[in-house]
Amino acid sequence: MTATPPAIPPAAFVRAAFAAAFAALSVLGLVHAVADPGPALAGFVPPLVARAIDDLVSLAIGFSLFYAILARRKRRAVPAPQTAPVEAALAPIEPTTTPEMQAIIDKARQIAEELDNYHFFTELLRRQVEVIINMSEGAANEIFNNLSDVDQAMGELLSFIDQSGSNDSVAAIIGHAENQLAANREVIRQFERQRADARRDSEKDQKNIRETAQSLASMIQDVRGIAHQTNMLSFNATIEAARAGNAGRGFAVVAAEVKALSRESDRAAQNIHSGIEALQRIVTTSLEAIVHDRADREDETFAEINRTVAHLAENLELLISHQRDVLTKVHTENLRIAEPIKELMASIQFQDIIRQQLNSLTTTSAMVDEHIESVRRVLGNLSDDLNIHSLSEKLKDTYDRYVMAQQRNAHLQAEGSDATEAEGLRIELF
Amino acid sequence: MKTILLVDDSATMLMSIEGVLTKSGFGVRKVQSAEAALELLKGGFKPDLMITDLYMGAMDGIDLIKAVRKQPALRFMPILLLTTESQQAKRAEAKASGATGWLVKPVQPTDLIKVVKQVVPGA
Repeated sequence: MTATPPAIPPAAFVRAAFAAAFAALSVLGLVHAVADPGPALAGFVPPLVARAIDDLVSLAIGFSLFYAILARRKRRAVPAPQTAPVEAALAPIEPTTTPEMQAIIDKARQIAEELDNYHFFTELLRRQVEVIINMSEGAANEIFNNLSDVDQAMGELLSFIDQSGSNDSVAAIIGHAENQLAANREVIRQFERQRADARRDSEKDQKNIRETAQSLASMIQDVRGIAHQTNMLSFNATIEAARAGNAGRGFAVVAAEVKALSRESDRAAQNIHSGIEALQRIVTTSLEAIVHDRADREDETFAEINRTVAHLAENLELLISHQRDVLTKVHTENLRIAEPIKELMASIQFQDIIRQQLNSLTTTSAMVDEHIESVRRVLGNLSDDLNIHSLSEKLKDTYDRYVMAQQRNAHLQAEGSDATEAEGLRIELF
Repeated sequence: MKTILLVDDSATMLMSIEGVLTKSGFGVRKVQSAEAALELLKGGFKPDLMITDLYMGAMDGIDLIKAVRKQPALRFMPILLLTTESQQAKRAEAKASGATGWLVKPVQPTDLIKVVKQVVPGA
């Protein structure tokens, strides 16, 4: 017959072991609370890690319930002294355990096996956090490089604008344009002078033509006068020939021929006079028409040129003015955009802050892992000691490692405390 | 141009603060550890200001400040701590070590430039 096993020591040990497991796994709840994607970490904790932490928290809750039931059942028995030596408690267990106690021990070992898996989750969390940090650092680098590219391009643009848009440059452009316009006006004036000269030459030519024609008319009158005198001479000769009778008959023929010749000469002179007059009219009329038409056309052309040059000058001034306005606007906008770029560059600091927070979580997770490992060892080997107080010390260490007020406040909230730490001055000169 | 030495183990922080300072017309030299900063300073480099992180590997920002203050040529160089740490005790420690001021990350560019101009004569 087997001896009745001492129920109290094993129960006390199991209660202590479950208390440790409960406490350790409660830390998971704390980690979960700290790792909860708050405003600073939103989107950074991967779903897999969050799910793993959720599973562990669920496990902790299960253990807690299990432990609570167990504790209630065991409270019906005689209370166990908390300080009972483990070895003493274990000694009689193996061969004399009741089925109920054996079941509890088996459960403890199962829990130890389960806890063995927590190390994987810790490693998983550590690696995932590492990935997040690397990714966020890469993203920060990329953002900064892109910002730098934009900033450099804007700087070059600004420099170009400063050079091209300076008052000196604009004054030089205006001066150059005005010189060009003055040169154009001088060319027009030269054309006008040449045109006036040409007109005067043309009028002079007309006058010469008129004078030549008049001179020719005078000469023709002379010719006609000679023809008239010749005619009178032939008439007298005819009379004298008649007086001479038969002797003058031959002379009369000559006189008649001279008379006919003088009439022909007069008609020829008249025809020449008419021809010269006609030529004079034609030449004068044509020249005047040509000169006047040309002058009119030139007047129109020069008027058009003057209008065009004036319009050009006006447009040029408008263009320069518009260009100056555009450059001023671009310059102002570039300066305005420079500030947001600076702000964006500064905002990259958040990557470092998040990195520190994530590293803190990794450290906490490693601490929990270490503690769970010690619990697991005890549950797996009931002869090990359990230092249940070490967890609270480690939690204190965790709290002391925080550098940000937000971290400490999140920790306090997870512990159920209403206390908060003020952030203090963000800038302080000593 | 005033020159500022940046000390931080985070490349992102160095990049960010360098961007803000250079855009504001300051020259910047940056190192990723307190040891590297000290070596640089002992080598004769004399910046107009040093901005350092607090927690950086083996040698932290306060250790760096103490070591820098031992250099006669750098006794009066302004030193700002730029950190996420918010504990008053650490501030007091920094002040005692010879820090000129304390800035909490993230610092706004306008605030940073204002403080830099305040502590660097002629900036």
